[in-house]
Amino acid sequence: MPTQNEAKKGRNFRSLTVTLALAFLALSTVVLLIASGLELYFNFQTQQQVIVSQQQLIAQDAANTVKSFVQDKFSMMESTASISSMAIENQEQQKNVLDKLLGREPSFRQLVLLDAQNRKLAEVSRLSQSASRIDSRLDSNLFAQIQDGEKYVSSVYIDNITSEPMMIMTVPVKDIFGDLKGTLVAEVNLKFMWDLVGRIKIGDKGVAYVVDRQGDLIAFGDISRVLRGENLIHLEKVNDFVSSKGLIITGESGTSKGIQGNSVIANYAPLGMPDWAVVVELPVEEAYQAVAQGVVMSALIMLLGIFLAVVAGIYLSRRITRPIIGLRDAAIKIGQGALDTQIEVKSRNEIGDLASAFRQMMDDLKKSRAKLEHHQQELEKNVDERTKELQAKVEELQKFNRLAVGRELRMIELKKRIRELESKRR
Amino acid sequence: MVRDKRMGFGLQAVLASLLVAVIFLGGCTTTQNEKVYHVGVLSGLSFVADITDGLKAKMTELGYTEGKNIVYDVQETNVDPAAYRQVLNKFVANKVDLILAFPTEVALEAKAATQGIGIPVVFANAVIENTGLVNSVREPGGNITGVRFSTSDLALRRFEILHELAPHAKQMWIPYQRGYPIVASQLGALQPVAASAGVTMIEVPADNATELETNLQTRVKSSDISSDAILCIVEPLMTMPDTLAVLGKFAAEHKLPIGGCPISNNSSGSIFMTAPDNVDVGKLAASIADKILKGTPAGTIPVVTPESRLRINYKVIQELGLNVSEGLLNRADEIIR
Repeated sequence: MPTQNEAKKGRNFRSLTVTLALAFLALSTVVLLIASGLELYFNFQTQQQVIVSQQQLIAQDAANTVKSFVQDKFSMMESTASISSMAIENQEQQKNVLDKLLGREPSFRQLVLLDAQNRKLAEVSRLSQSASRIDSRLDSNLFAQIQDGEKYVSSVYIDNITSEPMMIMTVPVKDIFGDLKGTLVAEVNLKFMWDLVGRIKIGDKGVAYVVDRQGDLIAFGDISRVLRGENLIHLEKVNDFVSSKGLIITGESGTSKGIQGNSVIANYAPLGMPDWAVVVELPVEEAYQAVAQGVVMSALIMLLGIFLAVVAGIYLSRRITRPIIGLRDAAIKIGQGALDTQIEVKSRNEIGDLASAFRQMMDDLKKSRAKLEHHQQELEKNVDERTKELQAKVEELQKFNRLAVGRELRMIELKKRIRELESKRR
Repeated sequence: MVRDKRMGFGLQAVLASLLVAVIFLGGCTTTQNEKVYHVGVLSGLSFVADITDGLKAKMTELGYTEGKNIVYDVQETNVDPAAYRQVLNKFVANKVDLILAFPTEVALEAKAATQGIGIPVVFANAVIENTGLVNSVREPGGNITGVRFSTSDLALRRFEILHELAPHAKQMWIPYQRGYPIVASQLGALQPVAASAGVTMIEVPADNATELETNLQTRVKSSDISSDAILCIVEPLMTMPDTLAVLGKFAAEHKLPIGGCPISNNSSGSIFMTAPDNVDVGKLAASIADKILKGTPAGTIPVVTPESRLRINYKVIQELGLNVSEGLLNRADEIIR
């Protein structure tokens, strides 16, 4: 008779307990995955909206900061032009006023006062007069730009000697009647804006920088990149600004390549006057940190869920299969003839019914067996009687046979004697 | 009852795997040893030695803690080329991560000492015009970059201010270290400007305070100096305390205005000084050093130009009976009264 294990091997046995546990685990995992996936998706959507809104606010705030740098310079120049009646003072007084302005604002490198015909009235400089380079900027193009008596900001240019970004700002000088009497021109060193931009805090590792309409970098925490005169038009948001016409702030904050070559969520805010934009970038990993934390939490919860599902699966499958295994083991013992095997199944369900049926079957089997044994004993008794009768008859026959055989042998002996006597007589 | 052993092993394996996964996800940590940077600092001139203070202060701001993740080997010399080379050779032998060298001649020595070795050099207060120190401001090239010192413009600016404060001066004495390489270019730049202002420049080269004193006394005996002034250009002789003391004593005796000399100890009696602040220069050098230590090749980092600060010694100006315009006072970063 094959053993239990051999039987299992022979028919490619698969434990019902394991099957049930795995099925429960698989079901739980699928449910958990679906639930976590949906939660993550909606969380991601919400977070993305939050990031877009935050980026817009940060970009606008940074733009206001940079804009205030320029507006402060304009305010100083306008105050100087209006309060000191520069258009009617003598040259020495005008120079003193310009000196005061130069002393107040370190970003002014040179100041020039022009009359209404754009002739130079006074000039002060942080550089030596012989090294003054503003004259080359006071050309007909600039005069054409400032002719209408409005404030003006030039495009950014790089100083040949220091490689620093500079720009020209002008404000009109008017008399009490509002008639244009001249122009106050300032050469502004934009490196003083670098600290301002460098201090703008964008998250932990985010950056802000300023580009002009050509996409040239004019302010960034890493001044070496500004000094190198980098053009950033290859960056998506800078390109968006360069391509756009007005003061549109983008509402999208998709992932793009940042100024430091990493993946960022970027946005920009145009300043308007001057025609620059502040671009703010936040590394993707930082922007989606909350989502990442959510993923980790979901993963941990899912792992915990799976663990619980395994424990529950094992418990439930064992609870289900234990009586079945008990019945199986009992069946095997009964098959081996142990009809007194106890079936310890007390479930009040179908398996319990099965166990009861099994017990009933065992009782019937015992009765049948007892009846069979009784019949067998009766049969053996009859056979013994018949055997004895048969034996007596056989003995009788044997006796008769012995008698018949003796007579026959006597006759053969007599005949043989007769033939001997007859042969002697001849 | 018969136990299903095969089922038991399968479950144990699943549980063990889960436990490993939980431990892996929950307790996975990495440790990283922080690199300790070794920076060699060579100051070739005592007058600018406080550049090191600016460097250290800014490096601390940038997250470098001395003794923890950065170690400085600060060597101070004073116009001693032999000592420069000795110190630089030591830096090279010690394989420092970066060398900060100042001023110009030290930077040039550092560049030569590290040629082909790969140790990056950051210079400070160094002249880049016609010295071969860098290829250009934007792309210095090689393994060197730093904070420049604009000598010619500074010399011209000092001349203009002195001329504004002492317009009566028709002769300006210019003492300087004999044979110092960056002097000629400054004198060349000053010559036409002085000529157009009607000022004659008188060069007073000397090797030390004694020689300077002798030269000054000789000049007093040979001509009338009542309408003269003394201009300090960018060079090392007029940064030495002993020469400044000689010059200050001489100027006080003859009531001569001195412009452009250091006024930190007030011994020179200089009426103004315009130059970049050494601590600010050190801070700018630190920002560059930080980039280099983080992996940016030195030769690709543009040279930085520091802002000059104007200090006016109003007390001495008044003692000399000179007039100073309100405009100049307004432009001053510091007024000593």
